[in-house]
Amino acid sequence: MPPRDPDDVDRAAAAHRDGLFAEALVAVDPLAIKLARQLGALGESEELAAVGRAALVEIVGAYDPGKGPFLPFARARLKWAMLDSVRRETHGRMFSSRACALAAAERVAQEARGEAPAPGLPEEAHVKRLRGVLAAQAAAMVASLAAPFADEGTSTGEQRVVARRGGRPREPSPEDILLLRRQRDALRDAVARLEPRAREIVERHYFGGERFDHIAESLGVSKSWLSRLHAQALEQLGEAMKGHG
Amino acid sequence: MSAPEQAPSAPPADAARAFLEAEVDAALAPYRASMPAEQLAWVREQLLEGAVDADGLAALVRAAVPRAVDDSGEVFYSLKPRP
Repeated sequence: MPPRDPDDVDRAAAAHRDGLFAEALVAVDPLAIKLARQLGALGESEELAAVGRAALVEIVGAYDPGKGPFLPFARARLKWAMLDSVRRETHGRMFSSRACALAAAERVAQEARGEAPAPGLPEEAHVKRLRGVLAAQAAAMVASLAAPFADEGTSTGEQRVVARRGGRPREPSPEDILLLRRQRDALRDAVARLEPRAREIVERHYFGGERFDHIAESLGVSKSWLSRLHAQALEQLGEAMKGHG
Repeated sequence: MSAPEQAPSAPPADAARAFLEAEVDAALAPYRASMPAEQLAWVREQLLEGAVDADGLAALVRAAVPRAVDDSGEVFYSLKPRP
């Protein structure tokens, strides 16, 4: 068989990329609306969609067919891009901690999807796994919401965890502040009991606000491996928190 | 003649939902006393949403929802708490 004309190969590759782009583009608006609703900021959906559209070229370029179907990959990457834009506070500080909480839960879910128990296992194995994942997600989300209170007494920290209602930020009540400080203290106690590496990851990411890639680099591990260690650390934290409440 | 083997079907939506809500509430129990109700409700809502999302934990939840088949071959769903 004669070798294919390089121009044909390029055109085929470009057509393939265009197809993927079009496929992902359809997912942008629904995802932006969903995330805006989850964050309590429906009015921000257009801006989130713009962030998603801007990320599409990079997402299509980063896709590796060996890692599974395109659309779930694209949706996950779109979600990251949108949450990251909120975390970088382009949408206001009020939503930052919620975006962190959603991103943390997504990280745990991502690991769980990659390590699901085999289908033939007894139901109890799946229940046990589900409980571990939910406990890890709960710990991750609560840590994301309560961590800003680590800077005790700073009004900025207090305001970061406030929910927005009806498009207007609401100041936390004194009771809410008291509760969140108690939550922060409980988390600190639990984090202190984790294994050293798990403790370091949780402290640096949730209390220190360090990015995953920075932590991975300083620990000398890949980002995907850190993601796995993070999920395990959160499961430990969820377990350690069981004595509270 | 033995009864034909019956494959467990998908659990009824309300039973699966009740199971899932119980699991999410159990996961949130450690934080109940020290989280503002509004934030706890938000976290609960997000956990439930993520658990039924195809991009989330839906496959794991489907595998975990309790189901059993009695002697007659009827599929039923137990929501009893398990150790």
